[in-house]
Amino acid sequence: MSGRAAAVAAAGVAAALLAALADVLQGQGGMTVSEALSALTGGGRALDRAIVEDIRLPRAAAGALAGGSLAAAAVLLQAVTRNRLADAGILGLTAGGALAVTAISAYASTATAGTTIAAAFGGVLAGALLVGALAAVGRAGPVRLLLAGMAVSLALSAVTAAIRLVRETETGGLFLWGAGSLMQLGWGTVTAAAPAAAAGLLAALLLARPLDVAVLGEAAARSLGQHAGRVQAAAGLAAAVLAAAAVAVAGPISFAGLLAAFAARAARPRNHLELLAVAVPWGAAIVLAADVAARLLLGTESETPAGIVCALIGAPVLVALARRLPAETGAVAEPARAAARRRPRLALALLLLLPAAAAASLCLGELEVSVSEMARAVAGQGGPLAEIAFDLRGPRLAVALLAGACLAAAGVLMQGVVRNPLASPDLLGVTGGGSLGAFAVLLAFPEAPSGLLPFAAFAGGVGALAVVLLLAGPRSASPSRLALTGLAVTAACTAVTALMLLDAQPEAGVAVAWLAGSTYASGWDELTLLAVPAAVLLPLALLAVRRLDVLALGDDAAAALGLRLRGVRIGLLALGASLAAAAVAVTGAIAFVGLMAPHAARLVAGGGHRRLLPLAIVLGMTLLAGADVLGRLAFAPTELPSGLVVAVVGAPYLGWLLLRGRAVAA
Amino acid sequence: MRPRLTLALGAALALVAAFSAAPAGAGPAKRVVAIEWNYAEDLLAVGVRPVGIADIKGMEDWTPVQVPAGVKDVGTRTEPSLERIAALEPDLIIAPKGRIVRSLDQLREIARVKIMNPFPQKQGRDTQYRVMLDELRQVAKAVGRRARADAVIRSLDRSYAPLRKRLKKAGLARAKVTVGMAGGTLAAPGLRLFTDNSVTAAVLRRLGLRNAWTAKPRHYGYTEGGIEQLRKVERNWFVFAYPRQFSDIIRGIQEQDAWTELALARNGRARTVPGNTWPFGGPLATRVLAQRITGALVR
Repeated sequence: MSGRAAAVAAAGVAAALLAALADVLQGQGGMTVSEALSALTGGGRALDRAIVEDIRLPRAAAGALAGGSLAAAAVLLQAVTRNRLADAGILGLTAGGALAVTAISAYASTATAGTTIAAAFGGVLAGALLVGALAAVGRAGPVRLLLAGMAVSLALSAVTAAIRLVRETETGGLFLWGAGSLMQLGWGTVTAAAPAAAAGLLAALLLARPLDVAVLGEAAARSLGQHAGRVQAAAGLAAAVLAAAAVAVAGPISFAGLLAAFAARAARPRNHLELLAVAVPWGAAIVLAADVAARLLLGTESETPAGIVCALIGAPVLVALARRLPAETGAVAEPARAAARRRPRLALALLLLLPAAAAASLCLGELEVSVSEMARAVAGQGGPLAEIAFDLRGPRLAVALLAGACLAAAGVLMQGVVRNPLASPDLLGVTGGGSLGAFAVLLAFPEAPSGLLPFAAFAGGVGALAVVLLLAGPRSASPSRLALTGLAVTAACTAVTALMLLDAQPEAGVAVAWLAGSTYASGWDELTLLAVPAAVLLPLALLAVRRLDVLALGDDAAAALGLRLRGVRIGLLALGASLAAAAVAVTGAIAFVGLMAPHAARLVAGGGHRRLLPLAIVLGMTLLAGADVLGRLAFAPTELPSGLVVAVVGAPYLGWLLLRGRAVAA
Repeated sequence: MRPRLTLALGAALALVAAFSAAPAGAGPAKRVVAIEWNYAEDLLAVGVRPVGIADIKGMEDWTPVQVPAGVKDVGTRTEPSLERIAALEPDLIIAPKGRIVRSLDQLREIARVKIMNPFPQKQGRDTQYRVMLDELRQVAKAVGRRARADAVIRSLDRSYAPLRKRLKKAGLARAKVTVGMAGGTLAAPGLRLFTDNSVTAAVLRRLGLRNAWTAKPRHYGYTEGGIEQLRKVERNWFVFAYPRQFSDIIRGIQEQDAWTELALARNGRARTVPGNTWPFGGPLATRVLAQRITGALVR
């Protein structure tokens, strides 16, 4: 090991120990520093010794375990993806674990600690498999993989939120854990997760040398006699095990691994062994320092999750890293047009689903109204019961249709500009900014009428995009830089929102209900709020199809054809963000539609935007309207938020797509 | 004695009948849907069977109140089924502000909506208890049972005296008590300790006890953290008042040295209440809470 790396690694160990000591000295019990110190050295009251032993030391150990594991996971993932921005949180691994644990708590409240940990492993592993499948097909470029991971992460988080909405009382206790809290009681969780973390770390150390070869590229690796696929799979699995251990002890924490790997590279390690040796202690130090800082700043009276602080520190670092990315110039391989075939008959069949979903939505429900009666009500001549049914179903259907159309169009636009078929409207900060906008208004004006919320959410969503464009810098043309900045801004918005929620601000519940990701209870007012922007923005999107086609040819070709790249990109992004923000403002964050509808459309319509965009819009409408009616009827009278239904359909679809290797090819 | 009781019952029934016979329209509501459990409880307390309640299974799981047969479930409290509510043809819907952000307009098309605000902006000592009684009166008034509500409140008020006596006899007059509810997960159990603005703290005072947990009042009436918090109040009494769903978590807490070394655990001043309690309920759940806290302390 080089002297420099060894020194930085030693400094990391010292920093971690120092942070751990500071962490042990903090607590909620009103113990003084000297009492805590003497308890730590085996003196003082028996109670204080027990508190240090059962509560504070496990907490510090959890922080060290989570931080070290996330750092090692990040190193592995960065090597596998050949991307220095990979992180278990960013790639959706921890979100998978969080979803699984939330689901277990929601539907099996008597789950033991062991079951909970097993669920975390299952969830992370599922997330990792998704990423692994992506890695297998993601040869077109590491940034694409990262974007796919982000999309998966955002979508899984949306499902978690929906489950918490449905099973409110059961998941109430998960609030702190869900934001990345180190709170422990006893050594049970830490000791259960430690073997996994140790195994993962050992695997990482063993894989260090093969990874040195693997990052040289597949051809070089093969010429050196290495089976690149096996090394990647092993590293991915080890990263999953490490991330699961971290999720089990501390909930989903993002950015800690990224920060640690970033700091470690500053020591200019010569190989992966050195990188790991530096990153792991620094990862532990970062998470522990975040925990100490959170409690110093916000006090110990209530618990403040360290994950929030990690996100607040990590987001600006990610922005800085993104700014350093070289702007991609020249053509980016976009095999979409070549690979996709047109399937007109399938397209026609899909188109017929829309009227079927609409008819089902109007005619089925708890209120028994015959088809003919409903038809009369639509014409304004129904009986009183049919009138009520139409008032409940009509605007709700229309909102689902319009929101689906807006999200799908936003997806097509953003995927066209970012040139990644896995980009989604959430990526550019629209959703996170929307939530923050609504919360900020409620905080500043607690008595503000709820009619103001959609406007606040819309302003927040579009504002977040403006921030993203500003932060991405003068060369905001670069798609990957845009996407990363979007992710950072989203993470920062989410962290600030979580901070506001921590103190249970009086009106927070109102905003949570508003932003739940559901078409529930949309009425004529909501329809108007959505119809006006949709009527302006959707035609504009349809007018942009030619520009999108030119953009798909790559920067050089597009410039040669006379396209003012920067202006066009920003214009199209603003259009996409406005479309998405209009939908978010009325229905909250509904994931997957903006991802799935363009995808499915590409499969049947090919890559040309003239056909792709309209078909994607129709599919988006069908998807959301279908999810809405399904969520309303499946377990009536219990409603499932349509965002959850879309995700339940969407996640397997995405997985299937990835496994078939179409994600990039199609 | 017997005839006089019968007479009183008869008079009460006649009174009820008189109210029931009141004309529809602007008169008292007959078919009521409750979107939150405590309002369903208020209705049951004044002898009105709601036509619909949100998440009946949840209510029976988490609160000590049983729902009579024939009441329809109208879905979750966060997104109740508007069509199911409409199909019940209610004349009144009762819901707290935070639950009907999206659905208020539609609910108003279906029936009159009474919007409640159980967690007001400014809160202090006793706030949530006063709100609980006030909302009971409002609900009762809406269904024409104002007198019954007053009787229920008087009966709740009277129910404290014998409990207070029992506590005094056990030497617990003016004792300082912290009441906690377990939360979080088995892996990372948390503790919710009730602050002075909560119903629970108000109940303690009515039992002649004092709330030992003096953290500044929080919106929902509790602070949330780990069990280390108890070190601050270890010289006082502690009561776990919990829904039975958390019994495993409580067992896990009690296995730790950080618990057994607490003075309150060592001196046997830590108690768990038997059976379900729900600290966010109406007069029935509150009465059960008072009885069970007393029972746990006196034992």
